[in-house]
Amino acid sequence: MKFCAVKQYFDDENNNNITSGASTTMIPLPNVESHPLAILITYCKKHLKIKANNADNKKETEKEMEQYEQELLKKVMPQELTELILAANYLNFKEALDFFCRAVASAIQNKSIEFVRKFFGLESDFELGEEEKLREEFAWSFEGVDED
Amino acid sequence: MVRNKKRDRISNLPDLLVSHILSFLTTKEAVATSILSSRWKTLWTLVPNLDLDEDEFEWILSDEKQNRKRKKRVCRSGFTFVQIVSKIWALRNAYPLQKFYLNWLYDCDPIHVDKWVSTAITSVLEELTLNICPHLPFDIPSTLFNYCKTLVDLRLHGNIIVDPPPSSLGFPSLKILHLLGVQYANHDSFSRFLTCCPILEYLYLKVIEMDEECNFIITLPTLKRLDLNMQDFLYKLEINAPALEYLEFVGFLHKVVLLENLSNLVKAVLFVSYDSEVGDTEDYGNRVMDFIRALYNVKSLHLGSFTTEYLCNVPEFDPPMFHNLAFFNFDFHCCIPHVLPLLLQRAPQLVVLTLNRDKGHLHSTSEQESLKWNFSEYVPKCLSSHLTALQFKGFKGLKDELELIGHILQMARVLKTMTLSSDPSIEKEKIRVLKELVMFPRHSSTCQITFN
Repeated sequence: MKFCAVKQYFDDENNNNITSGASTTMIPLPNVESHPLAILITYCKKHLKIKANNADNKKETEKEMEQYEQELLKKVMPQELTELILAANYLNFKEALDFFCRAVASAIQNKSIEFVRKFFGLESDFELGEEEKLREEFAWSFEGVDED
Repeated sequence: MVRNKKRDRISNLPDLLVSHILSFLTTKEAVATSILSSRWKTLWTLVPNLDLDEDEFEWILSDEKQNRKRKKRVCRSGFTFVQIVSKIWALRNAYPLQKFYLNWLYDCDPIHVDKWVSTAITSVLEELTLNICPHLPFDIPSTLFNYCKTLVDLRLHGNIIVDPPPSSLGFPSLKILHLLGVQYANHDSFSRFLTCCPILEYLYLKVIEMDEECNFIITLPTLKRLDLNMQDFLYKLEINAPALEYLEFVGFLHKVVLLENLSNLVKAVLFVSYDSEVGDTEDYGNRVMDFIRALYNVKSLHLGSFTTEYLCNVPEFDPPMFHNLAFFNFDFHCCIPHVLPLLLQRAPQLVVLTLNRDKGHLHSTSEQESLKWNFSEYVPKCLSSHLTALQFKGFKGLKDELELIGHILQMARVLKTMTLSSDPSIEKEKIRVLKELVMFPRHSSTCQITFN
C-alpha cells in the first residue's frame, strides 16, 4: 500500500483485534486537507493502474507515468504544491512526495531571486547590506541565473 | 496593524521538506537560495547531497599564473573551482553526505580531491561519483573499502588508482559499479575488488592502455548487466555470470576470453574494434566466433560492422543455433556472401531483422558490387514462418542491397513491414530505387514498404 501512514493504521487495527462489522473504516487524517488528498488518491490510483497495465514493461510504465505527471502539473496551481508536499509527507507516500518536490525544484531552478521570492510568497528580511554581502560571497552561484 | 495577507506559502514547510526540495537542484543552484530570506541562509546546507561539477560554470583564463605552467582558471565572478568547493565544504560543517558527485578535470589537484573524498566517506554514503583527471594519479583512500556499508552506486572515472586492501569489509550494498579508465595497483586488484561486491547488479568496465596484463575475472552470481570497453589488448577476461541479462562488448578481443554460464542472457551487443596491427585476421575471426558461440541463447543480438567483417574470415563458418533469437541487428560494410544467409538459417524464431550499412575496413569498396549473396535453395525457417519486420538503415540503393532485399522479399512469407532508411547521399535516386523495389516479387502479399 502506497500511503504508508494509512497502512500503519490498518496494521495497528489488526494488532488490537478490533472487530469491525462495517466494510468501511473511517481513518482520521487531521493533517491533510481534502483537496490535496483527493489529488494524491488519484495519483496513487493512476500509478497503480499504469503499473498493472504494463506489468512486465518497466520502460512503458515510466513513459506513461511521465505523461500523466506532465498533464497533472499543468492543472495544479503553484500554491497547491506546498499543500501536496505536506500531505504526501504526512501520508508517507514517497513517490508523490518526490514528484511534487521535484516539480517545485524545476519551477525555481535558475530563476531570479525575485521570481522565487514571489513564488513562495517570501519577503527579504535581511539587515541593510547583508543581502549585498551574500551576493558577493556567493557570486559564483548566481552565474547563469535569470536576472532580477 | 494588519500586514498584507499574502501568505508565505513556504513557511509552513518544515526545514526537512525544504531541503528535500533543494536536493533536486544542483549544489550551485541550491546555494543561490541562501539569499531568499534569513531563514533560507543555511537551508541548503541541510541537503545531504553534494554535486560539484566544473561544467556548471563558465570559465575564463585569468592573466594571473597559478603556477609556472598554467594560467589560473576562474569563473566570471573571479573564483577558482577550488575556492568555490572549499567554501561549500566549510559551510556544510560535518553533515554526512548521502551522495557525492565530483566532476573536475582542469587543474585537478589530488590533494584537494583526497580531502573532500575522505570527508565524504562515511557509513551513510550511498552514491559516489568521481570524474577526475589529476596530474598525479589519485589513490583511492582505503577507508572506502571499509566504511561504505550503505554504498549502492560507485562510479570512478579517470586517473585513479584502485588498490583494495587485503582484508576489507567491502561493499555489502553495492549494486552499480563503474570503473572507467582507472588503474589497478597490481594484476589482481580488479578481481579482489569484485570479491567485495556480493550483490552487484550492473558493472561498466572500461580498460585503457595498461602497462602490464591485468586479470579481469568477473564471477558474480547477481550480475544482471555488463558493459565492457576494452581499449587495449593486455588483459585476461573471464565472465561467469549466470544471472546476466545484458552484455555489451566494445573494443579489442584478446586471446584469453572465457565466457561461461550465460544461459540467461537476453540481449548481447558485440562491437569488436578494427585493429590495424592484427596480422592474422583468421585467428581474430575465430576469437569473434568463440565469443558469439557463448551467446547462443539470446533473444536479441546486435553485431557491429567490424564484427561481421571479421566473421567472413572464419574458415568453415559454423554458427550455433540461436533458438531464442527474435531480434537481430546486423551491421555490415560490404557484401559478405555466406555470413548473413547462414546466420538466418540458424535463427528459426527471428521476428525482426535490422540491417545497417555502416563503415568497414577490411574490404575495399570496389569489391562491394561484385559479390553475390549466397542464399542456398533452402529457405531459412525464420523467413518462411516468423519474420514480420525488416529494417534497412544506411540504404544506398546499391546493387547488392537491392539483391539482398529482393532475396528476402521472395522468401519472407509473413513479412508485414519493410522500412528503408536511406543514407543522406541517396536523395535524388530515391524514386528510381522505389520503382525497382515495387517491381520485386513478394511472397507476402500484406507486406508494406516504407521509405524514410
